[in-house]
Amino acid sequence: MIRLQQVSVMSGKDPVLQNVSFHLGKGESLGIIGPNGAGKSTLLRVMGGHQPMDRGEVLVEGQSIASFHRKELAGRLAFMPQIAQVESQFTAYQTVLLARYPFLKRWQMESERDQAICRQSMERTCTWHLRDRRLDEVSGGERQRILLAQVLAQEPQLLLLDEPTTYLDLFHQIELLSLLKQEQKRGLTWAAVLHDLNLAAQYCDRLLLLRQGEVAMLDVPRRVFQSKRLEEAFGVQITMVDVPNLSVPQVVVTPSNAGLHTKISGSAAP
Amino acid sequence: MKTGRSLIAWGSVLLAVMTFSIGIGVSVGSTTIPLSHSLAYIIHHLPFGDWIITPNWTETEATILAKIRLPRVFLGLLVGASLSLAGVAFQGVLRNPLADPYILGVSAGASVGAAIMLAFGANLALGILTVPLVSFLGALVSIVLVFWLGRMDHQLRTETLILAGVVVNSFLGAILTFTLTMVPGNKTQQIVLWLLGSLSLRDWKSGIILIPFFLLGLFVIWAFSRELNALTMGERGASSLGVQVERTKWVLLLTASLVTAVAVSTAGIIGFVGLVIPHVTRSVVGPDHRLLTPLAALAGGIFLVLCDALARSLFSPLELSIGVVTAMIGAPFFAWQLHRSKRGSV
Repeated sequence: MIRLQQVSVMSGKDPVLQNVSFHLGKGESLGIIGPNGAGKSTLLRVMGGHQPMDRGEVLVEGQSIASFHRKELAGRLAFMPQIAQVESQFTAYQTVLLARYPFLKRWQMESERDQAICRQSMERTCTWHLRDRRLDEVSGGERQRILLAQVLAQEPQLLLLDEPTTYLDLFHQIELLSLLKQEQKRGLTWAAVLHDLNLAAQYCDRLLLLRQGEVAMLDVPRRVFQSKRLEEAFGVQITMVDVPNLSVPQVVVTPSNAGLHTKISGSAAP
Repeated sequence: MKTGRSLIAWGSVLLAVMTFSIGIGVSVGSTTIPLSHSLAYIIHHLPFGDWIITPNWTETEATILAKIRLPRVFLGLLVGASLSLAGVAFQGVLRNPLADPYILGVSAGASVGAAIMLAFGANLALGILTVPLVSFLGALVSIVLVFWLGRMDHQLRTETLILAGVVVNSFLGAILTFTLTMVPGNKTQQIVLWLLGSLSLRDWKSGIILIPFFLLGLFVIWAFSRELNALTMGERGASSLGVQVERTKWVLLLTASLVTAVAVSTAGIIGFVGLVIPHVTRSVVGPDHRLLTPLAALAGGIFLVLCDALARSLFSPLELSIGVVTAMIGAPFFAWQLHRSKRGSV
């Protein structure tokens, strides 16, 4: 579905991403994890074609991402940015309808089919009852679900999400990720930047650990959790635990002595 | 389709209001002409109108209507519609309800261009288009300046943008004053009167110059209304919906500056139309630019014609500058908006 080859992004002289290469197959889900400033959001922007690269290439369905017209790309790939505050006064339905932009010509009205697609994706995200509410009037969880309905109405093969769960409470986090899982069963490929390692493990097929702009690890959750590199990346002590009735492992995080030391004192050991 | 039906419904309402306001616009003034006479006169001159209407107006009334009132109302409609249209584009592109051609310094830039041409050589190569085109250049310079000043950390923030507008406005004000001091005495009066913003002493020609620019602006901005809608999702949001954001922004800003500049070059600086009207229209018909663009233009025309009627009748026979009337209504509105946006409810 999407392949990154030796991608590097610089900010001035500092590298933000270095030689990032991986492949995401059709119907797969990927959790992008890593400490702050590791380049997670930049990586996601690169995958969405929103970030100029200094080196390397991104191939979508075998074709260079730069060679797509913006509208063509939007017909294959949707990006859900991190939105803290929405100023939009559009109703939920109007917002979702915007997703049909790539498929419409100038002056062309939305067809019955466009409207049907929007309605379906709103029903799947349980937002159809909110259709006449304004986007700046609904709660954070509802808004995030409406935005998810929007990206789904774009009918993408690949969906990229930047911290989709950040503004949500526990219930809505689970709800949103379950929805993604459900869409994945219909063939959707998705990648999300996630901060919660346990949720990432539960909902993503593979985890990509970024550290200082480099891929420190890319593997199934269990192997990532077993690796020392996860502890090194975050500077914390990580203990893996198996939870009954859950096929994937979870982690318990405790402060690491070494980590605390370098971070807080920053000087020689006493 | 729902959008189409609302457009027709609202459009008809506004067209009716527009006819009514044209009637008022041509009737009030130093000589009051009865509404029945003026409306009859207008309908009589429409195609096939002379079949329905028998003339009931006097010779003097006909002269006043044809030579003074009608060109003035016609110009008012076009200037108001142009400024409001530009306001829709600026507010949409900048995603900022406080943006308008006046506050962003675009009007001031256009007026500097126009003043220099009026002062030192109005009859250069391009004939009647010289002043509008030089105004457009002035408008472009000022919008580039405002953007350059207002762009902090690659972001356009409301507050910095408005501050940049203030800076550019006062800088251009200084240039304008300088120009006026350097001008041969007999022209100063003429330029000052024009600057204050006025629809008076204009003939049909000044309105007709506006038509192609207004139509071009309306066509372009309306054509981009889906892009403007997508921009409410933020620039990255719009881009992932498939919008070519940079191209869209520049097309719209250039178009809006052109429309503003041409309006300013004929009628001077008339503030707040581009701020208030798109806003009020949005709160009535909703934020969909497919509706908003044409309806705000219509409403802007109506608003300016009515403001002009007020300017002429409030202290008759004394005539107020129309900029005074729009500022009296617009400035309090702006203050209220600023207050609202400070509370973060915009």
